[in-house]
Amino acid sequence: MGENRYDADSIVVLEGLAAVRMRPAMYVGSTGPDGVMQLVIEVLQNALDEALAGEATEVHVSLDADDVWSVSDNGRGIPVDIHKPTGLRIPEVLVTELHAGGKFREGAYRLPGGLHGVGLTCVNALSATFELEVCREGGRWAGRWAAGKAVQPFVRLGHSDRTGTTVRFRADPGVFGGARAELAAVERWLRCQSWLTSGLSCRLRSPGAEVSFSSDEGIAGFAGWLAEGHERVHAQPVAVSATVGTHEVAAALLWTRAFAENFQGFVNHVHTPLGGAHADGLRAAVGHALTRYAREARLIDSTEPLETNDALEGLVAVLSVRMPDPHFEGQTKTRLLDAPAGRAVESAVGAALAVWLRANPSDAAAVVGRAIEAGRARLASRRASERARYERVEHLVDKEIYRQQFGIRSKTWHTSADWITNAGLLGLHGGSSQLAEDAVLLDVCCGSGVVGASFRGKVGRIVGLDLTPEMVALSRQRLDEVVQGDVYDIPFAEATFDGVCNREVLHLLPQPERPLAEIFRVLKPGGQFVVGQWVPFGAIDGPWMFQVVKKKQPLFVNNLYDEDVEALLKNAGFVNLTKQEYLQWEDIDNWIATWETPLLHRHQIRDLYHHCPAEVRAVHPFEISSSGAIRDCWRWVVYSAFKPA
Amino acid sequence: MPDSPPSAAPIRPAPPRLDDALTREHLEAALRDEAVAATECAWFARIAEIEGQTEASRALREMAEQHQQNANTTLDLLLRSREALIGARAGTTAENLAVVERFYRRDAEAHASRAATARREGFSDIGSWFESVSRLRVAHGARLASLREENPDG
Repeated sequence: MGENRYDADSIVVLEGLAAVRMRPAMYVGSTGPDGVMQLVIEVLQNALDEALAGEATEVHVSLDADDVWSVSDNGRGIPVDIHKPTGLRIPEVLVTELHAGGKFREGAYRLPGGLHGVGLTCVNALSATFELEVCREGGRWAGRWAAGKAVQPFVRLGHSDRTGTTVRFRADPGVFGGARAELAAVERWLRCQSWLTSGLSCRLRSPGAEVSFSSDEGIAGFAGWLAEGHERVHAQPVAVSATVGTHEVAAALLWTRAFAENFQGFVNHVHTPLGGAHADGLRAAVGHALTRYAREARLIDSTEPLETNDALEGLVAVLSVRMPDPHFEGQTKTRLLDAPAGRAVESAVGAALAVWLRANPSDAAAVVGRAIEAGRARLASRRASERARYERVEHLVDKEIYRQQFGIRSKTWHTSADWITNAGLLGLHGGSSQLAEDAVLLDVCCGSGVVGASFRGKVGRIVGLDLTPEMVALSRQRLDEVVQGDVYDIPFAEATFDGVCNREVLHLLPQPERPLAEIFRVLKPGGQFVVGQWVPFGAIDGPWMFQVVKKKQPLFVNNLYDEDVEALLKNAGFVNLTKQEYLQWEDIDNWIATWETPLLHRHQIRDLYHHCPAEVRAVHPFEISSSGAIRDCWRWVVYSAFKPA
Repeated sequence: MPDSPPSAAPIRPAPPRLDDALTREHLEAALRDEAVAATECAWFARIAEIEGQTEASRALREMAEQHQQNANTTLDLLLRSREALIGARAGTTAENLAVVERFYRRDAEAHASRAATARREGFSDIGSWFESVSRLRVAHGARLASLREENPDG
């Protein structure tokens, strides 16, 4: 019993910054690039709070070649008086004491966004070098710290005519390894803030580059910028500006022809990539307002549903809520928890949107028409999926579904996913060729023909085969001849081709054995088959990846593992099997922005990444940036096998 | 003299054995129901949240929390039974690991069998899902087995 004492001596109290250094991820979210980004954001947020208080008009940021970040504002400068309880100057207290700051009491900052006395202290604690310079009341003051410990006391150095605060720091490699904040993410943050804060000008300088942001267009300009590259359903964003109780709500809504919803939410200018109560309020308001208007204007009858998801498709929405004492999930503030904020947003956005719809009947009809169209597409997709399942009882494929889906996707095929035109991956296909220079190659399910084209120069003639007329037209730009036809019944005689290639098709077919038998048939004896297939990172990853891909692609029916593809090839009669692996990074937000992936599924896919089991993360690399963007590393295997001579 | 009272000790009824009782079956059924309800409510709550149905989402999420706690307590009561859920004694972590490992072994086979049925009936995607889960069960069972071998005393 005496072995495991649990008494006062066993309690360790981590004083001040030691607690931050011992558990850095608890304070800044991670010890990777996102954590360093959080340090930059914490400093920026303090500068921004001066601007929000109406005291600063400029925020300048720079990154030098030694990874030192510098953030300065032209605000009032941190007060330099003596803090009576500690006997230290206030700036020293602010950067060395947790939960010390001017944001706990009303007055100095009405609606601050920083971490309430944790921000600068954490940055100091987790920085190899940290310098604070304050210009105020005619003086220039500065101090320096390393890993939170004072190196140079905070003292007055001389005279200054300006006012403001400058923080320079370098993230501690002992904590963050070689992780660096993404310059593009900082640029995006500054760009967002210049839109959210009227009268604020931001500048970002890095070795060899400088960009400035200043916008008088407000968040409507922000929505317009987010909608760039997409066809707009109406010309000008719907503007919302209202105060509901203690909540100030500003929003801009702009519907586009894009498939995905693009929501950017901010609470006291802090980006909330996972949404929360305010996002829920906006979505509810949009759904209710559009349904009510559509019924009033007799654009739908009382029996036709207009679901919120359909109303949100293609919507670009920027929402800024300013409120006292917000509560977030986690220290890095990714999700707002306050239900009253949701109700305030729902009320403000609902009222403004209702007014706009009635005042702009032609735009309103276009927006509602967009939602009705999305709903009908969703129902068609569901019916197609149900029909496909029914047909599969006989192991038949409803070819019309494939034609419909890939016909629609052919319009944006090359930009709909990175893997399609990835040069390294295509190079592995063509690079596997052991065919003669005058060989004839068949590209099965050729799509746009890029896989077949990767053999160009290695074989004499390349023929394509695809089910979809649109893809046949597309691939004719690359291949020598393209035939419309079915992989279950390849329209060529036995032993026609010296080589066959194919990529990313077998898992869409209920019986992959059948196309493999067909490919075997049309190959000449000794002919080569090259097939590329995405596969999971083993048994631990398989079910998680199944969920991601099935949500994205309803036609996905076979979660093929590496060993499954090998077995399929061997069982089909192929010999001399060799394979090469290739890791490819995919932009998931782009990949899921397609017709066949309904909005609900897109949210659920993002949830799968955000709540990915730890053991899957240990084997399957992916990244979620501080802006919420997801990049996933896919494991491809390119197999080469031969029909026996 | 009045008759003396019987000298035999008073008869104390033996405590009921949960192993043999219908109540054990009911606990098992209740555990399944609570687990299913917890999963359903949490899943539907997220859908409601995405659809902007804030109140419905909150209600479902709170119910999911209740179901999960109920499931925990139902399992705790079920563990009174010697054979617990799947025919192995549970209680200590070493025993619990063995219980889960055994569950994985049996469930890997069950899922493989379910996969074959699904494919036979034409549901390739469901069959593929069952096969993926079966492989995961095998991997999890191997992980627990190696944990047990590394720490034979728990």
